[in-house]
Amino acid sequence: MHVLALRLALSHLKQKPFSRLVVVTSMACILLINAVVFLLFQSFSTSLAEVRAARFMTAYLDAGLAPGKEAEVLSAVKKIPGVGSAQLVSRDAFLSNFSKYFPQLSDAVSTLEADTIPRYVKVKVSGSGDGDADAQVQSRLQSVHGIEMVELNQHRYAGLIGALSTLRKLALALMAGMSAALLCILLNHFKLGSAFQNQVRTTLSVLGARPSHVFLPFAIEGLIEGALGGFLAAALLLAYGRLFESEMNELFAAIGYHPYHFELMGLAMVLAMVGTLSGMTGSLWAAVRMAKR
Amino acid sequence: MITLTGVTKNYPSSQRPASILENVNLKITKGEFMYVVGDSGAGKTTLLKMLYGEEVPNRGTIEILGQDLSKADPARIQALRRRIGVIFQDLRLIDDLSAYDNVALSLETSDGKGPRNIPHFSARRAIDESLAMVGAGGFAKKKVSSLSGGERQRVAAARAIVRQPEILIADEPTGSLDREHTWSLMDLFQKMHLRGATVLIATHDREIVRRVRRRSCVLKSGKLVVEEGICMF
Repeated sequence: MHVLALRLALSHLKQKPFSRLVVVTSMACILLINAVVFLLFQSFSTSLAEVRAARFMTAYLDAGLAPGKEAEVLSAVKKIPGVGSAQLVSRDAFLSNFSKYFPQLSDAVSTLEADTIPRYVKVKVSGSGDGDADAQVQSRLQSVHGIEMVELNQHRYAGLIGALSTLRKLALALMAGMSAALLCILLNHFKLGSAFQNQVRTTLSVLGARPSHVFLPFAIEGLIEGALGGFLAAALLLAYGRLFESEMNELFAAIGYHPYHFELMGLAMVLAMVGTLSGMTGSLWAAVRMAKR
Repeated sequence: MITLTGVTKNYPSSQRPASILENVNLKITKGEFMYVVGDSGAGKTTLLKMLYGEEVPNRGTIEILGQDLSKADPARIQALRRRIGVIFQDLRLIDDLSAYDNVALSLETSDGKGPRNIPHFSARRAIDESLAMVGAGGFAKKKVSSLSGGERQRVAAARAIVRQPEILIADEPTGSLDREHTWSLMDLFQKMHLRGATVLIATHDREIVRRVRRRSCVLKSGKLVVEEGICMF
């Protein structure tokens, strides 16, 4: 039966080659677009997590605080719940860092009055990045004697976080829309094909074939068509990865992340599998639906 | 073996007559050879379709091979169909397959075993024999779509007999055949009958009925036109 079912499926596949080519190509394109959008989604998610994890606060010390009291302030800061680590940056350390990054200005800065050079405690905030928790840490830091002002560095990234979140949502919506389009194309295609093949189904049925035999040619047909679309999408994805990887890396290097956080070969295999399975189930669904009429 | 009791079939469509079959009572015993004779539209095809469960009566009961069809679930009906060989009026061959494959399909749908347990290794021989018996051996490898009406009819006959069914139902089996092939097919039916199969043939060809004399019943406008609705010799 399997050989005959395969022959039936192949003979049906040979019919209407242009419409089948259109369906397979559309399927491959939609899967490819979904894969690329998924890659971007992964990148946005990873970047978002990295930006959120890098939560630092800068607690500036009072200008008049005696140098001997700095250690006490640092100790008090470390005891605050939500503080992961704290590091005192003295005037000398600040000047040293400043000179390192801006050597051309180091001479000018060294002539400044000592009081104008800030001293601060660099605080790394622990926890998952809840905004309320961060505000609490900030408030507690502010209340420590010897701290003049606390700056939440996260604010510098707020725009980036918002943009990444929006892009992530857009990517998800695009994937959902593309998946729905793929589903509609496949179901409609197989529905029409199944009506065309109804004669085969009824013949097998009146000969006494079991349901598994009756629907086997449809499953094989959908499986072949789906696999063609899936593997074409996988091949295109790998080609895309190879052709554009360096361009993507350069493009995204500016904001410091790698655009391919997901293994491309793995994703290509997923595409091939999704194509194959969706083709097979779509075809079976259409045949069963037709049989129930 | 086959019992129809008070079988009535009608369609809601106004295009058709009110009743296709009306209060049909019929009993066919095991190993019998019988004709159902009638003009076009008399209800012969509907009657035969009911025997393999493709049509369901509105009233009455049909018992076949010990099973009441009205109480049989789909799986049982499929199992029953595997014990019956049918030559359909519209043949129902699959055009994309060869004549050989169409016959093979009949065996393969029952996992390579017919009702009389034809094992895999002898399936090829059984298919070749069936095709040879109906004179279709010469075009076994040809696609059915390329065959003439008569050739297609012979392939349909080969498909019906390959499983050596307990019941052989033929709906106008000689409609597209020339006289020579008609008589050779009738010979084949008689051979099947001699092997123990119950044979039921629907035809409007009175010459066949006259030449191969067997019990026959006449359907006219959905009614068996014999006294008291019981089909007699």
